[in-house]
Formats: sequence, C-alpha cells, structure tokens
Amino acid sequence: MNVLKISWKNIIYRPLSSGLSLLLLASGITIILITLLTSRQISDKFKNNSGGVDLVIAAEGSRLQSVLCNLYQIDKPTGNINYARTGFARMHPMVEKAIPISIGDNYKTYRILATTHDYLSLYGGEIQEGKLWETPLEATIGSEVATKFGLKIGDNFAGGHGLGESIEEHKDQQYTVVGILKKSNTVLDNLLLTSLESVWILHAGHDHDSGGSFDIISKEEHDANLLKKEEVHHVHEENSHEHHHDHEVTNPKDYEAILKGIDFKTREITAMLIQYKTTRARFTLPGIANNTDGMMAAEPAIEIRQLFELIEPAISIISLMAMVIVIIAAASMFIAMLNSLKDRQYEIAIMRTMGASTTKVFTMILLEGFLLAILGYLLGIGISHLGMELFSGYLAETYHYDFTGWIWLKEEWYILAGAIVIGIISALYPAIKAYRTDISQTLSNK
Amino acid sequence: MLLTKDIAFNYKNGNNISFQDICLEDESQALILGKSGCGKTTLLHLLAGLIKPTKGSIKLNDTELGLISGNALDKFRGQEIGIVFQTPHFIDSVSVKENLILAQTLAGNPKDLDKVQSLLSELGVLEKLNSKTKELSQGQKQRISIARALINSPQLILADEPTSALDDENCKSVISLLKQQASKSKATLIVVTHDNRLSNLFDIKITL
Repeated sequence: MNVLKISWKNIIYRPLSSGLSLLLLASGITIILITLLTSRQISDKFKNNSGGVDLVIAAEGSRLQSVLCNLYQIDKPTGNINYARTGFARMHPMVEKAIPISIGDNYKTYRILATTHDYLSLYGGEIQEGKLWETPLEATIGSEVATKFGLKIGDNFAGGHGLGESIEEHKDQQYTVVGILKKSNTVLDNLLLTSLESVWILHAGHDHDSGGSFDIISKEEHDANLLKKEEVHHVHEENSHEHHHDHEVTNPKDYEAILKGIDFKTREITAMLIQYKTTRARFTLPGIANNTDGMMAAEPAIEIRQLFELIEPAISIISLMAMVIVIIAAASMFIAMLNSLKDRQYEIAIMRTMGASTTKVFTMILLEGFLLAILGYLLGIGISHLGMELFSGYLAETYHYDFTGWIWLKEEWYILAGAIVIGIISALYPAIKAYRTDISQTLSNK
Repeated sequence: MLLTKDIAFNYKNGNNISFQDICLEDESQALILGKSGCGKTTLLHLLAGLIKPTKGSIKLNDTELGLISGNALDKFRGQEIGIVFQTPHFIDSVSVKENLILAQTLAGNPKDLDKVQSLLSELGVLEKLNSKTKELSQGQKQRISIARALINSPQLILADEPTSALDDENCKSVISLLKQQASKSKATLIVVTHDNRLSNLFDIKITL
C-alpha cells in the first residue's frame, strides 16, 4: 500500500465530488483545446492553400469574398470577368504566372474548377493515376472526391449548375474522369479540375438561371449569346441525334465545333490568379486591374490578415470562457477536498498513529489533487480530439475542407502543465491542513 | 520496561495536570482507572508520544520518548506502539485487509499478508478480510482495531476505553482477546478506562 494507491482509493471512494471536479476541469480543457485545434487547422489550411498567389483579379465586389472564393474555394464568386480583357495581366513583364480559373458548376456540391495545367503548380499537385485533362469535358479529380464518390478513371459524371446542390444538371454533356490526383492536403483534394473550354462549351447554349458566376454577364453579351444560341442548338441537336443509341461521351471533335461558335470576346472566367516575378509588381498591377472596368484586384495576404483580425476577439472571448470554467473547476476541487478532509481528519490522525509522517500525509492529499488533474486532463484531451474528429465530418460537408481530430499540438503539454498546477494549487491548502493536524486533539474529540 | 517520572502536561486553556510515576515490567498488563476528565486520555497520548509532556520523562525500554521527534517519532510509534481507540476508526476508502497492510507499510515494515490473515482468524473476523470497514458491526470493528494495534508486534499496546461501546459479552471477549494477544506477542498492555466491569480482569490497577 503506497501513498499513490491510498490517494487513488480516496478519489474513487467519493465518486460524485471527484466526478464533478473532473468534469469541470475536463470541460475547460475541452473548450480550450477545441478552439486551439480548430484555429490551428484553419490557419494551416489558409497557409497551405495560399499557393503563393500574390494577387487575385476578379469581378468587382468584396475583396475578401473574391480571395475566399477563388483561392480558398469557400465563398461564392463575385461575378465574371472577360477573359480577353485580362491580357494586361497575362502579358505584364513582372508577372510570373497568370492562371485563369472558372468556377460555377458542381458535382454533388464539390466544385468543378476550370483552369489551365498551371493551377496544379500552385499546390504542387501530382497525378496519382491517369493523366491531366486535355480535351474539353475531360476531368482530373482530387483524391477526396475520388474516394468519396468512388469515381474511377473512365467514369462519367454530370456537372450541376451553381455551387450548391442543384437539380439541373448538364445531363446530356457528361464529363469523363481521365485522372486522379495525389492527396496534397490542399484545396486540390476536393476539386474536380477541367479545362476552361469545358465550361465555355457547357454554358454556351444555356439560359442564365442559376447561382454560379457563369451567368453574370452584361446585356450586350447576353444579346450576343442569344444569337449564338440557335447556332449552338443546331449543333447540339445533331449531336443528340447522332449519339442517340449509345451514351458514350460525345466525340471531342464536335466540341471543337461548338467552341468555334463561341466568340473569343465573350469567353469569361471567374478570376485570374497572379504570381509575381518581383514584388515590385504590386505597385503597378493592382492599379491597372482596379482601373479596368468591372475588375478588382485583391491581395490574399492583406485580406486574410484582416479576416484573422476579425476572428481574434471571438477566439479571445472563447478562451476567456474556458479560463473561467477552469477556475470554477479549481474551486470545486478545492472545496471537495476541504470537505472530504473534514470527514477524514480522524482518518489522518489514525494514519499518523500508525506511523505515517507529516510529509506522507501532506503528499497523500497533494497527490489526490495531482491525480484529479491528470485524470481531468486525459478526459479533456480525449473528448477534444474525439469531438474534433466527429465535428470534422460536419466541417467537411459544409466547407469541403478536411479537418481531423488526430493531430497533436505542443500546446497540449502546456495544458497538461497548467492542469497539474491547478490540481496542486487546489490541494495545497487542504494538504497543509492535513500536515498540521493535531493528532491528540483530533483523537480526543471523538 | 515502561517508566514515567514526574510527568506533567499543560493544556492549551492553561490547566495543568501532573501524573503519578508508573513503572511496568515487560509483558505486564495494567489497568488505569479514573473518572472522566481526570486526564486518562491525556496520559495515554503522552505514553503514545502523540503529545509531549511539559516536564518529566517517559521511557520505553531504551528509548526516551522526549528525545525523538518528527519522522523518527512517527516511525517509532508505528513500529513499537499499538493503539486501540474508544471508537474504532479506519481508512474508509480501503478494505479491512488493506487497512492492516497499510498499518504494516506506514510503520516501515514489509507487507505480510499471512500475518494479517492469522491475526484476523485468531480474533474470529477472518471472513471480513475483504469487507469495507463501514460494513462492520461495533464488535467486529473493535476486533479489527485490536488486530491493527498488534500487526507490527509492538512493545507497548495502549487501549483507550476499548469496551465503552460494547455490551457485556463483547466486552469480556474483547478484553480477553486483547490480553491473550498481548501476552502472545510479549507486549506490555495498558488499558485506560472508567469501565468498572474491567477491574476484576486485571492484576495491576493504577487509579488516577
């Protein structure tokens, strides 16, 4: 029978008061840790997904929204910009890369992103199997999408209008999966990538009725589209007719024909992602973009910093709340131990008569606080990570970002140290009281 | 041999009490009688080293209790003095067996389960080995507290009113067990009481 065992037995002998202290401590720790786990993963996501993009050129609107939408694939597009008119960025001598992207369709709420092969280089994307998209309506898909929907190379899928769950699908013109990307822990994992042409073709003959950015066009363009529409429909009907008997993917050559029918000047994209060759570009390029009709330049670094500045007070308030709960936990432990000590004064006196030294009695009480702290910590850590893991499913559904409960932070060591300090501080006064027990007087009183 | 000389004690409230000298040979069994409030418990606590006399000396064989203190005194008490209290108290969170093992280890002795079992069987409470102390009757509790006082084979056994809560039958058997075990382990036994039922059971009687 060592002291540790007696301390342990004393804790489980009073399951209700020990349990309450434990629960309070664990709750405090859980709130702190879940906040840490979430904010850490969000800031990691933002770091991983920035792709070294210096500037996002998109349609006028909220700068933060255009960054969130085009770089982080969270928000909705601000609108469309004319591809032909982005030449100033593509040709600019201080621009390293100018990558056009087009967002507006989805496959079961996962985004279909039309772009060039350069887009992969932002995130170091690599092919796991198959190949990159080449001809229109070929798609190379992210690893998460492939796993989630069991899509394999050669499978066909229809894109839906807009970014949410959509009823209307491009059923007659289906994409073909030609490649699957390696998991990269970036936005790539949750995207279906295709060529810009795919989107232009799919939307060439459609009415403009859904939430995606493809549909926001000027009146002139609208009129031009109406004219083209007949022409496209014509080609379209031919296609349907030809392929009436088998549902194989339409011959790429026919897409060439449709594409030819779309005036270059009416081709639109959602945004242009820019990497500078030199930082001096930031003194000229954003200005040009902002002075171009209907366009706006947003610097991700600035927008994201502002976003975090916005979130920070909320995190502080949550942390403060957690602190209050931890303090209540400490108080509850203190009171529980002091109360149990009242009942146990005689016990302690008896232990002393059996040969226990004052130090031993002191250690025993202190150990009870220590053990409760360790238990509360373990419980808190368990709930946090498990909770985060369960919560991550919900986050993934909503944002298509992968979160996990199975990451460990170095802050968890600080929390452990904090918990132990709290346990020991709450036990200190009761332990001193036990240390000072007047054996003779205690024994005479009963 | 237990020897006290000129001992006196000052209470916190200023009252003063002095005790007659006591001299007991090894293995003797003595009864200390006195009315309540005459300092019986104080004397017992002085003999157990739980409090220090303001003057005088208490000597148990070669050890002068006044000269050791702190951890050494705690350890000496654990090993050499067994105490049976008026109301038996235990560490409630552990079983009877663990209470007795605790008495061994707290005194610095190795854990000896055989001894725990043989002592409990001699006292007729072996079947309570794994019981919780809260589940015991008063008589059983007193038997187990005797076992606890004896577990380390002390030189001196002190019993403070061990029979006051017991009926006549239990009273007799507890005292005979106490006497029997004390002589078996060659310990000096001192029973402090105001219980006149006991006066015929002891040869040496000291009245305060």
